[in-house]
Amino acid sequence: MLGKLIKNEFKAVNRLMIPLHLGLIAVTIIGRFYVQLTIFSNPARTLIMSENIWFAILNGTLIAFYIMALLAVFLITAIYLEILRFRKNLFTDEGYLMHTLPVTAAEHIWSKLIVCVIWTIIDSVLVLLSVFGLFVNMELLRDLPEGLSVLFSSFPEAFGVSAGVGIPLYLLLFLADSVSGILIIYMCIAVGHSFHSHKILSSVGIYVGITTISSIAGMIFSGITGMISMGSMSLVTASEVTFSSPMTFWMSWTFSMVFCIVMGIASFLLTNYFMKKKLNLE
Amino acid sequence: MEQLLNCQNLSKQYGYKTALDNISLSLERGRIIGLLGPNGSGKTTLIKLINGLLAPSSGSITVNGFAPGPETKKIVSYLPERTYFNSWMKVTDILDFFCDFYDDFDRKRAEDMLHRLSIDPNERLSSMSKGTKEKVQLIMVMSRDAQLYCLDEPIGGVDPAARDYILQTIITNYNENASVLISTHLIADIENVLDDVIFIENGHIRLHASVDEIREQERKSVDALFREVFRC
Repeated sequence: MLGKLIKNEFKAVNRLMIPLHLGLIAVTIIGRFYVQLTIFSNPARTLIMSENIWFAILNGTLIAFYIMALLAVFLITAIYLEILRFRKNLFTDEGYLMHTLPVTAAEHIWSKLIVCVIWTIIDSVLVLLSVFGLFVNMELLRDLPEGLSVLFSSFPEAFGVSAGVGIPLYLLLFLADSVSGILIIYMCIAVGHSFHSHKILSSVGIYVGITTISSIAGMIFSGITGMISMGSMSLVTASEVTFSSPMTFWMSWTFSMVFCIVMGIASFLLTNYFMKKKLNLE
Repeated sequence: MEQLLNCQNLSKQYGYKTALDNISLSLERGRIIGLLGPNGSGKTTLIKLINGLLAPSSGSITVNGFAPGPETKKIVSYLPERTYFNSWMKVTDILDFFCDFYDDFDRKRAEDMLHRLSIDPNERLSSMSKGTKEKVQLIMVMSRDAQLYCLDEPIGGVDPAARDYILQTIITNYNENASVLISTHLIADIENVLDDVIFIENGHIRLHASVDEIREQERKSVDALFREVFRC
């Protein structure tokens, strides 16, 4: 049954996700043509353009438009898949159909989660490729190996372990953090919608409460250990830690990972319980 | 054989409001049962509890011996009082969906009924009238070989000609092991197909009797008795 749920879930979300990401690809291709024709093809013209105020305004506007389009695709994907789809399909009129199917609550959660994670990965890869595809040129490609080797060689200094160990582990942490983040949202929706009234407000309130408590927990932990670590945030902030040793890396990584896993499992179990025992479709 | 539906001291509160108050009820197989009562009497609440869309505040409910869950959803076919299909779906999408999830769904039967009511399977629900959507929903629900059909206001928005056809379908489609629970306040229209009636008012069961008993003892139609019991 899980396979069938996933199949039908893809069928439903692809209706929005495919056009949205085709749009992103189209914007990237058009932008690439513009960049190619105006900047890369003729250095002399680039000089003129950089001095003419009208070209500057035009370029600035186009870049702003591109960034907004990128952000829009990213945000729509996240908000639609993580919040709207879960709520609409399971806790509004559509829920009358979904909750009378002979499947378990856990299968509903898994199907939503799996499709959400797969599309989030596709979305992230396409957004990265879009930025890369827009600005890459021969010069950049030539400098890339050298730049990467500098990045990799300075990695231990910043993070305390080699890049070959650190990057895969941070990617894994990022994935675990995304999954537990989605499950926390599902849990807030499921708990909030078990109430008799103010369902959306309750869901938001629970979410705010949970994030506040978990960031306080993170702050206390970092206060005690002198490390800064909160989920995937440690990726960004760990570089600020002055004494980067393998020990701090492993402690911070392990804490973040355990935190994600505990939060994820607790959220899954609560969502399952509330969908199974406290369903309240009115 | 196990009783089809069994409710023991079943109550449901919405906040301070009591929708069902300590109801005990059991239904046998092979009956068409009318669940009759004025608006807000608890008909929809009872049907939603049977289908596991609401959790009881207290008491228990079992279908075929199981509490509402995947086992009971396999054998209960439910028509809600609202349109619950995605409007972007075509009728064929819904047929595929039902084939995917319900082992007892008879696609051929559904297609025949759609044809009979001149509904184009390639039409999107969003372009259909409310009545046509209700017909599609009812066809899907009645095309299952379920053991308990729960129909919440099945004929409210449908024209009288289609109403006759639908009632005919309800009578002919179910087998002797199955029961049909129909909630409605259009009593005169369905009175002739009913075996039993349940009168429900303010969350209490006022009467649970067979139509024959009512006709013999009260010497009046169910419709007339309903108007007398629920006189405003």
